[in-house]
Amino acid sequence: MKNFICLGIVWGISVSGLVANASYSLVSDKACLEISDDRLSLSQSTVLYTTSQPVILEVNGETLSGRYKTVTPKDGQVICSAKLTSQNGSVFEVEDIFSKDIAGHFLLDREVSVVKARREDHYFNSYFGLCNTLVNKVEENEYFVPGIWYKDNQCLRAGSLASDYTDNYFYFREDRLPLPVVSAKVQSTRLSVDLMHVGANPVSFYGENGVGRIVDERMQFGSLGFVQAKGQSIMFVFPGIEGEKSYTGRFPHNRTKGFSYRSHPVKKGIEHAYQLRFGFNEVADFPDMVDKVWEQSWNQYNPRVQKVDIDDAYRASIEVLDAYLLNLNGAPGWPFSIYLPNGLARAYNYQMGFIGFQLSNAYFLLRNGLENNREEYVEDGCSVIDFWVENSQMENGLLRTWADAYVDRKHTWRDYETSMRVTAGGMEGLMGAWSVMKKYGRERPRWLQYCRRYADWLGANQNADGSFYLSYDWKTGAPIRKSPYTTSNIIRFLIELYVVTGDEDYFATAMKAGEFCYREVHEAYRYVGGVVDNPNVKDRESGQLAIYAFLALYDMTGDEKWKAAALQAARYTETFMFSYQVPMSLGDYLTDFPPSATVIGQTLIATGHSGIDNGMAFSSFQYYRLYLLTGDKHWLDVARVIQNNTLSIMDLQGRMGYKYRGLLTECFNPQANRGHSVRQQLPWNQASILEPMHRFKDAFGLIDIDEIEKLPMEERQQRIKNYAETQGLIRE
Amino acid sequence: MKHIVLIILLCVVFIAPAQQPRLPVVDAYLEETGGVVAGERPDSVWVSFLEKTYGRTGLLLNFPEVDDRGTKELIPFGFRLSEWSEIPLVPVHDNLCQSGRLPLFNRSMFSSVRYMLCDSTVYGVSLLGGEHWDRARFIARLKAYFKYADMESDTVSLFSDCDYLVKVGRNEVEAYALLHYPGVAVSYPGVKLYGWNAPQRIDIDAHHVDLKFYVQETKENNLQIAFRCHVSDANGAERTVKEVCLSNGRVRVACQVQSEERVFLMPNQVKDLVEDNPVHLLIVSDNGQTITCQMSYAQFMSLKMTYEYFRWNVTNYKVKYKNW
Repeated sequence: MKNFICLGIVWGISVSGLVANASYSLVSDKACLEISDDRLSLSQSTVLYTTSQPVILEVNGETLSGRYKTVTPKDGQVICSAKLTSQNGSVFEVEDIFSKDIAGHFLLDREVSVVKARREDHYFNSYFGLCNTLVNKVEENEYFVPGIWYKDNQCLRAGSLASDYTDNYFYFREDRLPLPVVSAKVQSTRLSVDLMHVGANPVSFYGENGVGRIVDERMQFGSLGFVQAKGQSIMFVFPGIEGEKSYTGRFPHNRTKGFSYRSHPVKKGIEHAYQLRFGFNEVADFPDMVDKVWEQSWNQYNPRVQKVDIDDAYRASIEVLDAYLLNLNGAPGWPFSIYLPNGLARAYNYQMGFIGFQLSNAYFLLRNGLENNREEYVEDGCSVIDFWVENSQMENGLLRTWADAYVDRKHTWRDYETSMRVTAGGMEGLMGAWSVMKKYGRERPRWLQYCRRYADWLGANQNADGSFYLSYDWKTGAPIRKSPYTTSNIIRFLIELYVVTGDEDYFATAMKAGEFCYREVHEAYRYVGGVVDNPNVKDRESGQLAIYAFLALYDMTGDEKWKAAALQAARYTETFMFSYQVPMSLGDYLTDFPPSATVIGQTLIATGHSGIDNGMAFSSFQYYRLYLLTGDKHWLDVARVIQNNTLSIMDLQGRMGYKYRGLLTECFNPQANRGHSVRQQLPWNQASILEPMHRFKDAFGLIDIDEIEKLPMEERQQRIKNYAETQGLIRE
Repeated sequence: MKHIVLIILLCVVFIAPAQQPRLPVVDAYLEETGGVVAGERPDSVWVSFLEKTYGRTGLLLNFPEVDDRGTKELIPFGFRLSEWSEIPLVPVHDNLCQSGRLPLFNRSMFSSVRYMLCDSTVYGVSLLGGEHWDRARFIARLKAYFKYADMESDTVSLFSDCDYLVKVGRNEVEAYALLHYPGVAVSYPGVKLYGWNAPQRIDIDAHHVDLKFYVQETKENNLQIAFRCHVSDANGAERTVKEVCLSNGRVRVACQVQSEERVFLMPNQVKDLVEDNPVHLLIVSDNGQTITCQMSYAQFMSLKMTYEYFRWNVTNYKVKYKNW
């Protein structure tokens, strides 16, 4: 009897885990991973992430978890195996191999095999996660999830992923992440934890939409994120369940929270395996975390440049501008959009900048005419600019920015707000046009006067703190949307005008605006509102405009703080750019994404949805400048990806059957209905290709980075220095 | 001692390994959306071509004049059954249905007729040969009406013109009024494919060609003309199509095929093709084999009606698109 009791005690204690089982450690720099049959512990300094359930499955919606059966060290790795049996008798074998990776990080290679499949068990998922029990609230951490979560949940649309801190689960599908990585920094420490899916290939199939549970072995994408419950866990789920917010569909009964379920069938031979990297970084602050985590992930995936003939892209773009310019009853311009692939124009209405880019496109066309002796291009470009100069400005200098053209009457102006974003795009185009005309001896003083009058209005209406409101009523001059975060949008124009005119007032206005942006955008890490047709949220374009603003101020002052601000903005912005390949859906012949193109280089537009476009194309020049400024080759890599990959969705090879080779689609989706686009080109698409080319040409006389790279570094540095002083413009 | 042991054992039972926290809210989510669903699938609806293209109905066509009294009594194509109709109907698929076999009252080669309807409108008939059935004689009458056969064999002969398609089997004749033959609108998320397709196969040199023209409709009235083309050989094996050429002696449109399900055509190309009949088809498959044929009139009509639908519905950039 006594022996029986002792055995029972030993059994009971071992079940309870009170006996210390064999434990093995891996060390990576200052991080340590301890592995035993019933526990994983990741630690560095005082921060501990742990789990007592190293193996977790969910079968038919029920949690099935357990410990490792064997834990064996071998050749610097620790190989663990587990066998789990569901309530219905299905048997799952799990093999986990842990190893050391880059400093502070470890790898997990996991494979789950279905050894016995019972008919009653229909579907399953596997989970991997580690929990920090000391983090009691979501607010205690700062988060970086590319394209989705930056620091906190400020300036996110209600219903967006990561917007609601009353959620407990924050799972994000990796096919909507520019890189499949998530990270968090505990505010009171100088450590961040991150988790990445290594070698992700997020295969899915057409029709995989909606919030109901879809069970299909073809899905090979995961989800990454966090769970806030009894501490905070950093988690990976496979296949990728998303919640408690999702963009895959609407939750029933008008609910705002739920899960979008995706699972694998319980089936022998199912492919269910993945590799994860997790660990710590020592970080000074949130921006430093973004820097380190992103660059580590970028280096892991090493996104490929898809080389495009840049000169051909230029020629094809000019061809499009020539083909579609039309003067309807004295109102010349480019159509609001062009249907693809048949190239039919949809309607002729003109927005100055942002999506219309009428003035910039006019600049590109007339410059081509001047440089190639094509007088008709010069006339056409001038006609567009003259239309805006003569018709769009109010007495006080404020601008009307959107016109409608008609076949049977005079144009009208829309009752549409005048925003910093829209005017910035237009005015920079006009500055370029004025400058190149002057360079060729064709004076256009009224164009410059138009710019001055608007800048004078800006100076007179600048807020005391240096900001401008997002938009104004052109009829009254009163502010409409009072968010100040798009102040950065107008700075480069002001600097350009200052460079051309020498008028210190414009410089002062720009500097005052810059100081506001330094505090409220850079230091607050708040890049918001640049996508003016999205509801004033964190977005990619605000990052781009911040880069332009801070670089322009750095060019004028040489003050390192502006350079640092430009670098931070550049890093933020690039994290919206897809840097690993998301394949188009299996069985989808309706996708508009050409098979010859890659998602790499295309960027999320804003938080709140997963629409992507080629808008990063605007910024290849700035990223190249940052490379020259810092010597950091990463910026060169980014610049090359941007310049080439964003152009890969044009039809330069003629394979897509577009009416013109230079056409490209405006916006598409990497997640639901992958590659299905709006099937229309907007004028900004052409401008995004041509604008940086003109800046490269102004600086280096060449437009292809790979050709520019052949110039000696000294020459490149001298040329960019000259560019910085003049912004590529002629003085008045 | 016994009590101590018992207490320890009881504690052991309840000291379970800490579970991954699963909050009660998860059970609510599972109940609402955790049930297994199929992925989104396309949804097909049959639609009246006349109504969708021209916004009109009311075209009535009688069976071709083939000198047979039984065919003279048939309900005309385009006739819409009223609520007082006594014809028994059997559903086929959504808004498609067909009647039972109905006897003919007049002296005829045919014994009975079955009507095919879309939204209660007759678009096709199926006639069963009766005791006076004489296939050769009927074929001769069709040749007198249509001038020539698109295809002729002992098992299937095809005749078509701008109004009709007639298929003559061994003992059964199917006839369709082309303009009443319903189109199919297949709805995918964000994309609708609208096609009118001749109810016939193209069989050339022991190959079966599935060629269907359609208009792709997407948001903001974006209409694009396209076709799908699949080829299978005599063994039923699918061949990869590399190139499709359509020509009418005046113009030649050559299309490199990236995807057999969707090959876009420019509107001006289609307009040039439909201005002249006949249209010749040339298909190059992956093994270098070339298949050529002259498209039947019915097949040509599918191309023509695709263009008709396109030009009646496409946006004109000079007129403000009201839904934009």
